[in-house]
Amino acid sequence: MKKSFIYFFSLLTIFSVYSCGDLEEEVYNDTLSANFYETEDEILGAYMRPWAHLLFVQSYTLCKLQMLSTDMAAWTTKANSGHGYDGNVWYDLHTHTWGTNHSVIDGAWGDVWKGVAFCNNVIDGVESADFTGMTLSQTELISQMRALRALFYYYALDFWGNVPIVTEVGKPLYPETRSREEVYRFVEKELIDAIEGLPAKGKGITYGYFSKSAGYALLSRLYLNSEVFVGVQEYQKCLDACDAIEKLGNYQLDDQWQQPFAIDNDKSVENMFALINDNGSTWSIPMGMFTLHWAHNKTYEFPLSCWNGIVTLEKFYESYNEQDARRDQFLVGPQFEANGDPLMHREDLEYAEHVILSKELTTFRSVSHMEGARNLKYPLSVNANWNRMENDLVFIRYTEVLMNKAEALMRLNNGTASTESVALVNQIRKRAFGVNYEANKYTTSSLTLTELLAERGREFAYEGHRRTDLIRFGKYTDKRWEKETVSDDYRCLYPIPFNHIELNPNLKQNPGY
Amino acid sequence: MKKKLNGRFLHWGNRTSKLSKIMRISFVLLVAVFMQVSAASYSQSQKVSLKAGKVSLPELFKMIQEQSDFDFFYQPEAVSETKNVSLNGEQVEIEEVLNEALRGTGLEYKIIDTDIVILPKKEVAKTESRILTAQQTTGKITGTIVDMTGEPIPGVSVMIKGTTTGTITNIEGVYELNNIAEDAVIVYSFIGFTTQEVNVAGRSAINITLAEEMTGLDEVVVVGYGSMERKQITSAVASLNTEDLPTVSASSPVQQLQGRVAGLSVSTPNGSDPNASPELLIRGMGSIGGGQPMIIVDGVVVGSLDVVAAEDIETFSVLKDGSAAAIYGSRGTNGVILITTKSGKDGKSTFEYSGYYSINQVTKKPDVLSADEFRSFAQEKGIDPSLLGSASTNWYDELLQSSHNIVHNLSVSGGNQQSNYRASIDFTDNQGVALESFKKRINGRINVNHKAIKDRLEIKASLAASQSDYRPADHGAFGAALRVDPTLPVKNEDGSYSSFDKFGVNNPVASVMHYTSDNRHKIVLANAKFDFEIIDGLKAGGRVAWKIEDRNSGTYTSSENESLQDKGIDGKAKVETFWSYRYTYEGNLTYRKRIGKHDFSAMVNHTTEKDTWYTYTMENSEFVNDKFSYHGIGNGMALSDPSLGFPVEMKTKRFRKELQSYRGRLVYSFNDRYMTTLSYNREGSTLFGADHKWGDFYGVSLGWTISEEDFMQNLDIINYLKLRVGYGETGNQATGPYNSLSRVGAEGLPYVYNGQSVKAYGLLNNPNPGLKWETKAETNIGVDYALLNNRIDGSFDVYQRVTSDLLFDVKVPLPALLNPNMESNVGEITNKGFEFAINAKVISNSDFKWSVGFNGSYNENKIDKLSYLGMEAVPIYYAGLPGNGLGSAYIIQPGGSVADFYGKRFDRINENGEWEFKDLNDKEEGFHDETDREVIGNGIPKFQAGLTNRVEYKGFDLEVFMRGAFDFQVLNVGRMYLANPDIFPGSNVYQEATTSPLRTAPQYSDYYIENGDYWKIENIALGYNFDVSKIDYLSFARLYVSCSNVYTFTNYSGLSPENKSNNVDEKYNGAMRSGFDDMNFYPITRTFTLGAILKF
Repeated sequence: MKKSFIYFFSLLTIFSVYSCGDLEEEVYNDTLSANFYETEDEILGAYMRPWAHLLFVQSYTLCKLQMLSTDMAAWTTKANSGHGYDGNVWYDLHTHTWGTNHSVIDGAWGDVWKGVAFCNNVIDGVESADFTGMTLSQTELISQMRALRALFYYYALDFWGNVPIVTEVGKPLYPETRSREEVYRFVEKELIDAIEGLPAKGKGITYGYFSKSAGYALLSRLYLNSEVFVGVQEYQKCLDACDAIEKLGNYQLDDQWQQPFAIDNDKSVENMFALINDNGSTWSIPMGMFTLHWAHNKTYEFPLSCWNGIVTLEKFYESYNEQDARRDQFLVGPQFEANGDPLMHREDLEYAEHVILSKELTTFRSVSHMEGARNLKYPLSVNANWNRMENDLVFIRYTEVLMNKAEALMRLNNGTASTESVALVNQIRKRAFGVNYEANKYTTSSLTLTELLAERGREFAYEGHRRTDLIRFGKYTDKRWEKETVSDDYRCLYPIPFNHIELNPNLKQNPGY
Repeated sequence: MKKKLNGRFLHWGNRTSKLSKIMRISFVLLVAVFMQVSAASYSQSQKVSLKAGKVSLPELFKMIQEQSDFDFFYQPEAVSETKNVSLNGEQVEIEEVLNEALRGTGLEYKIIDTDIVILPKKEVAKTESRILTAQQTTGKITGTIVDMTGEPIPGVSVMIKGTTTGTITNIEGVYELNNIAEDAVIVYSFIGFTTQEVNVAGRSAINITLAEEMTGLDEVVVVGYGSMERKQITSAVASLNTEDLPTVSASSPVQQLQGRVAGLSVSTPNGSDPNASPELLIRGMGSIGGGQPMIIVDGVVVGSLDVVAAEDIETFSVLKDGSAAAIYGSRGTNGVILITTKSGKDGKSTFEYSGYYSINQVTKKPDVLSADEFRSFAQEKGIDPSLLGSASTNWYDELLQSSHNIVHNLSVSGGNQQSNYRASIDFTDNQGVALESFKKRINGRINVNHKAIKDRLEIKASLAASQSDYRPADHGAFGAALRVDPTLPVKNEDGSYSSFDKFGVNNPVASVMHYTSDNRHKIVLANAKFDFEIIDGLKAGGRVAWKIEDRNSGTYTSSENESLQDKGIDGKAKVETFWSYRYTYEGNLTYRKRIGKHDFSAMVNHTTEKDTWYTYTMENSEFVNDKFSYHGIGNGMALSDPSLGFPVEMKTKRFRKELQSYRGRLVYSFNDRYMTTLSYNREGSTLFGADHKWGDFYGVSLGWTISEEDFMQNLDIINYLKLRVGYGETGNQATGPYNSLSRVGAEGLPYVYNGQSVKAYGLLNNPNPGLKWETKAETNIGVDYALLNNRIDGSFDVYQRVTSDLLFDVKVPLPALLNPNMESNVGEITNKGFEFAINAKVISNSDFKWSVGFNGSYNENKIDKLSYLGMEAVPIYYAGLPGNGLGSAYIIQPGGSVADFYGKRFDRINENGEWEFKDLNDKEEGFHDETDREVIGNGIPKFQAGLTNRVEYKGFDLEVFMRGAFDFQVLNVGRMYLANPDIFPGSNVYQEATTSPLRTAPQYSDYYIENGDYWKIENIALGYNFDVSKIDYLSFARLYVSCSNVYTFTNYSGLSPENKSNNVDEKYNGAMRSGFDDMNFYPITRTFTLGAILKF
């Protein structure tokens, strides 16, 4: 009997041998965060992630919120097919009638905070990593990450204003809303601190990343909008930032207005911060995909069809005069295939039509598929695939520094232009008008603030500045096309998405929503 | 009067376990009365050799037992009083030995198949003397009817078969019949006993021992890590023997349980789709992450039921309440279904064939406009007729094919006292009604049981393997078929498939035909269990089980596919492989002891379960032609030239999890009246946060068999009454591995650094180190009863189950975290309800029997709270409606229920054909899209019922099975879009749209919420068992026909109130999307089956 028990327990022991594990999980195809950041390649791999994220979300969501609620562009619903209806989200943006659960605003919120979380994770990892014997600079990486995080926060500041400030992943889980002023000061401080450790152009890896100058440029953008952001005029600080860029002297205007967007725009001397597309591994959607007609892939011999989505508002298109070279970025009139044949829509059917784009637009929710001027600022590589473009995505270019400076000067001068500010803007004007420059150049009397806004519109069309500019000039809430009423001022901030307000009671909704 | 074949009257040899013996004798007795003749002939051939010497009767029985296949059953007291006997001889007939041995003992024996029952003789002797006096009269037959304990039974019906001549037994159990033909057949029947037919064969005295009919109380029920007699069970456990269920043409064997177990809902949202599995739900949504009970085959957790053929299943046990499922601890929250497969039977070698052939017929089709109607509606709407095509296509019909389901199952079984085996092979060829869809499966299984070391060692081993080849039905194509313009042709004049507008819906027939999908699923399951009886009653044992499962799929989208053409891709191939390995190790110790009136048993067990799984995925595109299909996946250009930007993927993944359990169970009963079961389970899982890996789960239940009490003895109407009270805790594991850890991986796209493209590695998840067990506490009070001579039996249960720390992948706030979702412990749900089962033998004559089974269940589900790390109120919106911006169909919020529809309240359609909704929130002026919404229905039926009517007449049996579900709503998504003329002509519409006043886009409101109540004739089966007594090689022959999904009574206007969306995010599975009748669906079909069962 005793023996039997011994047998049994030895038996149980045999089976228990299989169970000696401590139930710790083994990961195979991923790594624990704690075990990463050990080698130079690991650190570099982790450092890539936030940039790749920005490249994707800038082209996909963030730029849409800067364009589609303005006087520049709209994503119209195409008659009959209902294409572009998308649950009315684009119409809501155009007419400033979005609610607190607008899917595009919600998407942008997620994208911005995901970017912040990536940066926070990398900063944490890089800070605790041992860089001994590595060629990478710990200070440079941290400065870059702080500048990039400041950029994500800049978006949060601009779109939503009053948001929490978090610098660690998941801590705290329920952060509190901070005032727009606190966020503004946070971005300012982060940028100033980051600029310290950022390399000047030519001194480190700056293409595709921040240079000192790019940091100052973003800072100038921040200060230019200070009155909107915090109700304080900081135009002098804006000028100082612009001057710092001048002093570093690394950037100048390209000869041609289109050079910053060209397929080989990595050769541009103007681009201060561009996100790199390298035709193959990276992923971004050029604006052309949203704007071109379905059939346009035959023009560019694209394998993929374009989306026939975003059209330019008629008045905006008409703000370019005929002599303005920049008008060439718009497609209007009959369209042709690469070989010169007329571009046909539904060519396989009897009722195929020649695609003739009109600048006129009828009604938002039922426009013909051929209405609206289409923007093609970034030239498309022929016979490539649209998500495999080589044009780098421009974020900050030297032109903006000139414009920011001119505007700051004018605003410090009671809104009137001085010779200095006119000279700054005319550099840009000259490039746009070439031989016709003289007839179109600005004078201290013709360059009013209203004109400056229009010129910024023409220069930065489809680059993701329009909404911020309109707000700064007090024109954002105006009537336009199917936006038949002046919207309330609270529309100058987007609502904190309903979802997140519900989830985190420490988040406060923006006034008005 | 209560008479039972009851363990305590009998003693048996110690060869086999008490439990299986009881099961066997019950079965044997049942079979014996049908097959007395053959049983007798079998016994004659048995001879034994006996050595000289005096032995006691029990010793003699043991000697015979060892030399033959016979087992002895006797009352120990009766035998112990007898003197020792002396017998000697070689190859002596057993009957001769027994006659000799029992002479003068006052005992007699009865041979029933391979069992010998020793009974006191006095009752029989008395009657025999009386019979002798009456023996002279020609054509006169007399006899006494006794039960298994030798007690005479008065009132037994004694009828001449095929006539109305007959009598009943008197108070002493004696009957007398006159003028009986020599070859007449007498039928003896009595309520509560198995009817017996006996051929007179010229005899004038026929004494009969009637076996008590199994009331279910004696059946042995598998309860997890052991089995118990039904009467010992103190928690809510339902069991079904597949012999009682008609064969249904189904994709999964669990479909047999549909409507048969109170509280178990089996729904088939995809009808007869050969690749769909039914959805199971026990007692409502116990957890929100999933509701599916755990399924265990012969003690091993299986993922897919493909490993077991319906024909190989012997019993199902459904552990419904917490005290029953607590033994399964971590995985018992949603209930447990235990499946036991068939084993070989002692002494019989059988070869069995069963098979059926069935066809499906589409019954209900959506009412979209035909081509002519489409044209005239277009004309009405002022659409340029030149924009329309000239064809007339019924897109829905184009997606159908003729279907069948052919099943063949062959099995051979046999054995002796030491060993038995059963081997089977099963073929299924199931072709669905959806174009190109099919599933073919071959399934083999061998079960071997062996006893050794003087029967102390028992080994059960099984090996099962299955291979399925299949192609899933394209449910989306049916959705597309509703929308495609019917004036467009399927094919162009040149025979190629036509393609239409790039941004409308693609030609659904072409999308099916331009897609190759070859899938193979294999499972091998090896399972070995041994038990060694160390001392009487104490057994030590273990189990090793090993399962390999793999799925391979190769798909190829032809370059002619429209959406690929839109993207300019020349063909896309994908090959995926999934491997999974599961190892289960168990160590067991069980002890059972009976001391007087105390019956005691205990079990301890340690289980380790290790799972590893791998996925390999390859994708490539840009092929020179379509000839290689996915076999030439390496030929595509996309992999070698990433600059093309075409779909390409090369990925492997590996995961691992482990579960450790230490469990124990104690069962004690006193005098068969009072019983209690205690169980405890401590389980650890790798899936949780470092400090939360272990969980403790208790179960306690009490039973009181009131009918055994003296004060109940005189109540004739109640034969059996037991009260059960139980409380049990169970758990639920996290959905996947690694959710508590902060992980970094290569998920992002590369970025360029210093001119080089560098792979990006980023944070992958929101780590949740606090992730812990979900636990459920359930209280159950139940009653089992048998009334009116066991004519009516059944059960009634009331329960409350509270699940806390619900595990779910919930939305979490941003900022601070990375993603808007994270698996967390989020709240508490209460399910309350009751369930009942009533089985009645309405008529039980020898020729005609009618029995009725009725069960029903009511369940209420309430979300008590939703919280996440202390934060309250996090409503979960899920199941996005097709088309952007309409939001989600459902809400989960505190105070609500799972599957609550959340939307606007319809007010009216105004003069302009615009929607107007009710202003529900008084605080604000007018209607607001976000706030003016409320719960507008719930998709989970609160009341469900099943009704079985079974009629047997001579060889025929007819079963009509109906079931229904009540008190729930269905969102008719099809109507929401297709009954709206605003989407025309971009999409085809329902007839209803042509008269609709709507002029604006679809909106989600209670306008499309309909009452889902239904009552359904699920199955009608008619069978005939042939009389094969004259064919000596055949022991059983049955032919049957059946019709499934016969008719549904409902006011619901859509295709079926049981339809459920397939398009909802996986995590909102099962009942969470009940009542969401999507546009993408599998056709509703009726199935006709013809089948046969032959035993040799």
